[in-house]
Amino acid sequence: MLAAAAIRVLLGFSFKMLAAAAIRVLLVAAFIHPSYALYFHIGETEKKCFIEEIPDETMVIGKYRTQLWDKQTNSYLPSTPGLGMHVEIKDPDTKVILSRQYGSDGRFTFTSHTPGEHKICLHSNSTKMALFAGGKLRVHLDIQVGEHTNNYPEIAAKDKLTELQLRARQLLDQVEQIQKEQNYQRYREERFRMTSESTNQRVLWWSIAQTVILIVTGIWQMKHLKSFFEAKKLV
Amino acid sequence: MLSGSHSSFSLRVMLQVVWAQLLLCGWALGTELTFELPDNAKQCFYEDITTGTKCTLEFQVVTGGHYDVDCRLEDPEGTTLFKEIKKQYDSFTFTAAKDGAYKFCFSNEFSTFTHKTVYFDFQVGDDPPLFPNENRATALTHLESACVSIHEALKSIIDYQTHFRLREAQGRSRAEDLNMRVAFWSIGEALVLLVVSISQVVLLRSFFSDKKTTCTRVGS
Repeated sequence: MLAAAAIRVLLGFSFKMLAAAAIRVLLVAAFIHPSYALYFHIGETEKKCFIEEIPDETMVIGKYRTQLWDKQTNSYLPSTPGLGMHVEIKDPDTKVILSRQYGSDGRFTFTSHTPGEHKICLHSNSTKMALFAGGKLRVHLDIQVGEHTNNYPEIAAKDKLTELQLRARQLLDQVEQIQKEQNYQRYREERFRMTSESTNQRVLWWSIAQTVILIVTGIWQMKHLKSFFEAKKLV
Repeated sequence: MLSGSHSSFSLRVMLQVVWAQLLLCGWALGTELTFELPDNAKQCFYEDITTGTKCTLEFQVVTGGHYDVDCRLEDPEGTTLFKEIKKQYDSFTFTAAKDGAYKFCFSNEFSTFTHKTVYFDFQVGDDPPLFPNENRATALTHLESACVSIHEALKSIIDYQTHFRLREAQGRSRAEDLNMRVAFWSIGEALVLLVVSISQVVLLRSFFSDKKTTCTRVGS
């Protein structure tokens, strides 16, 4: 019984340590807002779309944070409960690959399966009209693509890499991204070439067809008019 | 025991990650975005910058009209640092002299019906360091500095690739436009030809039908 009590105290103690550490982490995270540096303003029904032209098998991580204008304090509130953003992501074939509602702070991620232009659209879904009485919502946005999505300190900690190994890993990721982009470039150039050749073909056929139509209509006109005038006994 | 050491290990890892995040937060990152600018519209972006940070803004118009856009960069007090009218591509580097929110706007207000796609890249400060570096007092070894220079070279390759991709997108959209226009125009012109030739014959016939009645009456 004493042993059981001792074990319980020990477990409780280690749990408390973990809890304390977790609270510390949360406090730190809450205090220091992650620096999603760039921000812009969006109206209530406005939809803002961003285009990312990426090769396939590329990961994209988007993070946003919203702030609402408060008329009373004449400043932007640090966070707005009850206000969410709807995020919709379309792939190059205009098929929706992600359509979800997020809260006032959100993080969305997707991996492209086809190369091309992916469209990321954001619009707010304020359920209460009163929230937007001030008129503008401030949205902090950060979209990272490809090798920028890698969090190197985290990778170093997880795989226990030395500094040199980490640098090599970063260079490898960069080179992989360059390779993917070059591959995508080859695919795009092929599409461009097909379009140009199709235009070339169309112009060729059209010019031949035009000439034929011209000659045929000319001959038809002469023949018809000749027979018409002969019928009218004018020739 | 085992669970104890495990929890302390995960704690250490967590703390390391937190420490790294803390350091990361101090460094501002770069943003590159491509967005649509409808006709007669203006889109502004803001960023809080501290004094002394070296920043670079570059933009390129990807599709739309004559591929030009107005760009304007203002400091927190409203002084215009950079202003360009109807530019297709430009780049501007400056060092922030004041603390505060810098604002840059792209305007398509001069265009009546073409909407444009604009790409911009706003780099603030340097890249975040790879490691929470306690030993930055010691110089980089030969290998490490080689790695750093390779990293910088690769970054510039990726930058060139991006600009090349944008120019290729421009060329490709023009080619696809041309293709569509040639298709419509050829069909349209063939139709116009047929209609005009038939109506010519019909008109001529109508002239001679009227004259014929008056002629016969005069004749007889």
